[in-house]
Amino acid sequence: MSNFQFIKDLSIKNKILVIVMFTGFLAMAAGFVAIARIEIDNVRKVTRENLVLNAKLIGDYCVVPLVFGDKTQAGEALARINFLETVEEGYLYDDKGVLFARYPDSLDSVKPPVPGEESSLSFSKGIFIVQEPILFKGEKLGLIYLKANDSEIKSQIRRISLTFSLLAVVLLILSYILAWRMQKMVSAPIMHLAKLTGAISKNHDLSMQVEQHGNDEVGFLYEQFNNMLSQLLKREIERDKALDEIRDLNASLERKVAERTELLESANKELESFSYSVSHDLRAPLRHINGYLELLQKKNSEQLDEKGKHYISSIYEASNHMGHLIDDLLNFSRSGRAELKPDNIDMNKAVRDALMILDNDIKGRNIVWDINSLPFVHADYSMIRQVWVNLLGNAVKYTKFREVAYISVGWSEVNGEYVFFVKDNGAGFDSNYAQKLFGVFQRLHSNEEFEGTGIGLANVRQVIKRHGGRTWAEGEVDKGAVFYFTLPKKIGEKKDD
Amino acid sequence: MIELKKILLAEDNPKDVELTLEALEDSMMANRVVVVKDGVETLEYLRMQGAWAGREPGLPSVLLLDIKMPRMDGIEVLREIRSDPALKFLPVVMLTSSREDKDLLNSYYLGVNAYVVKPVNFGGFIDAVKQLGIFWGLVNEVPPENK
Repeated sequence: MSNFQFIKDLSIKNKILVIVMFTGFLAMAAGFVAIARIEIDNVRKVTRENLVLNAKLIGDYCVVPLVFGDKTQAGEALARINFLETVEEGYLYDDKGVLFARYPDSLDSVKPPVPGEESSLSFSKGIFIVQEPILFKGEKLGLIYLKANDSEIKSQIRRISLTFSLLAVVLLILSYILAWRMQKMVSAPIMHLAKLTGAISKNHDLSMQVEQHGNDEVGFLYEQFNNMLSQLLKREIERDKALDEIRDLNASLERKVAERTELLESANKELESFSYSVSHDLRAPLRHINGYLELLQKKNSEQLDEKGKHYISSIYEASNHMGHLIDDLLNFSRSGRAELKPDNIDMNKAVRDALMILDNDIKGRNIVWDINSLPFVHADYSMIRQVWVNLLGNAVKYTKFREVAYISVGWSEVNGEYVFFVKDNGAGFDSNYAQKLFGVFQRLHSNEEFEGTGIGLANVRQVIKRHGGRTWAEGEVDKGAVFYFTLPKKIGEKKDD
Repeated sequence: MIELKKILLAEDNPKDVELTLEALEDSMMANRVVVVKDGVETLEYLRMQGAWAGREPGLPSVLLLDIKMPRMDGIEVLREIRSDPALKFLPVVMLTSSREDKDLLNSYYLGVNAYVVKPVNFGGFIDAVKQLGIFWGLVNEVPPENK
């Protein structure tokens, strides 16, 4: 195939030229060979026939001289071959086969050929030899022997060749013109298509179309090209429409987001001023209650009996509980609103600090701690520390009736998340209510048994949720509880990059 | 004997006033306390205007300032004091129930001398007020008065 590589690289125009001209040339050459063969055969046949005929005619002229033995007259009769262009020599033999006359006379010195008996015609080395017996009334009088050249055939071949050469030149010119026309017919539409495609991609104008072309393959190509263009155009129009819609949607979405943000901001501000009022205004009356109770105890205790003193301590407890509730609620609302300030933090330190904060609750207790070495995480330190305070505080609180409390802290890595847990052997809980544990003001134990506000775990869930983690708990009544929370590991690794 | 300077208590809640005075009574400083009911009155006292136009001249040794008060709150009073050349150096102690970061930051930004959160527990409250009275009323040396 590599022999045809050069054809592949030719332009279509030149390919067509080459193919058409080559085909024309081949057809012409084949025609030339065929016609030349037939023509030459024909000439040869005619030459032979003429030769035989002439030999017979001249033989007829020689009958009388042979009968009368007149050699002069025989020579004259034989000299008629002079009129025959191709016959070069002629010999006349008598009935005994003895040379009777010859032509031309210049050949006298040359030994005459020895004739055969029968009529025969042979051709070799461009020379025809014919011999014909001369008969008169059924009796053989002698034999005529003629020698002729093939100049007739040669000149015929020359004539044919010349004609064909002329014809070939004319035909080649014609076929070149034809091929030129044809290549224009084939390659011009392709060039047209290529130019249009270029214009389309340059101007980004899909609305252009190719004008219709005949019904041939190029016409089909044009039609398909136009189809493709109109489909592209349709799709582009649809896409533009969709883009417009998306833009509109985006704009309205942005408007909505801005509106909502404004609403949210004002709501947040309201909430902030609300919790500010709560912190200030709710605390003040509590402080007053406590203050007057203390004054009452200090200045009027002699006037109070045991019952009165019990009432006072009950009021005192109640107001203290109220104080804790307010503090926890404020913490909860703060951890929900405060901006997250994530950093690469050491969980070991967070646990240590949490235990320090819980020091008062831990003092005097018999607790066996099992705290594993914890990883670094990407999180808001003070919020995560509060999570540990709440979880460890709960573990300490709910094991208070155990002679020896076992509290363990550990972690594992599951599916790209850190899973931390706090496990205790405390009062546990009914696992049917596990989900309730994390709700605000949800408690599974009476305040009498275990004091508390019911906000700690809600706070844990809120903080962990804001970090992209989850919280859950497992427990059994009187067997203990395990509290889990997860933190995504990915954020932590990002920080390390 | 040198005449001891007054302690100015700006507090709108009479119960807080009573409890504060009770706390100061133990250290025999209650009689030195002057009570004003809001921010506007605080400034009137300090500038000897309005109802306080006829008072004895001289600034208190300290202003115990509540934040949440009617008409003009403690933060505004503090700002006013610090921008008034005559009051600029007056020792001011915030005595408030608010533990909000916002209030703390604002107060320190405006140049408060101390910030005390009233403890909910009365024992703690008495201790805090007593210490405040002793420190700011007796121990602390006030700046010379700007005449």
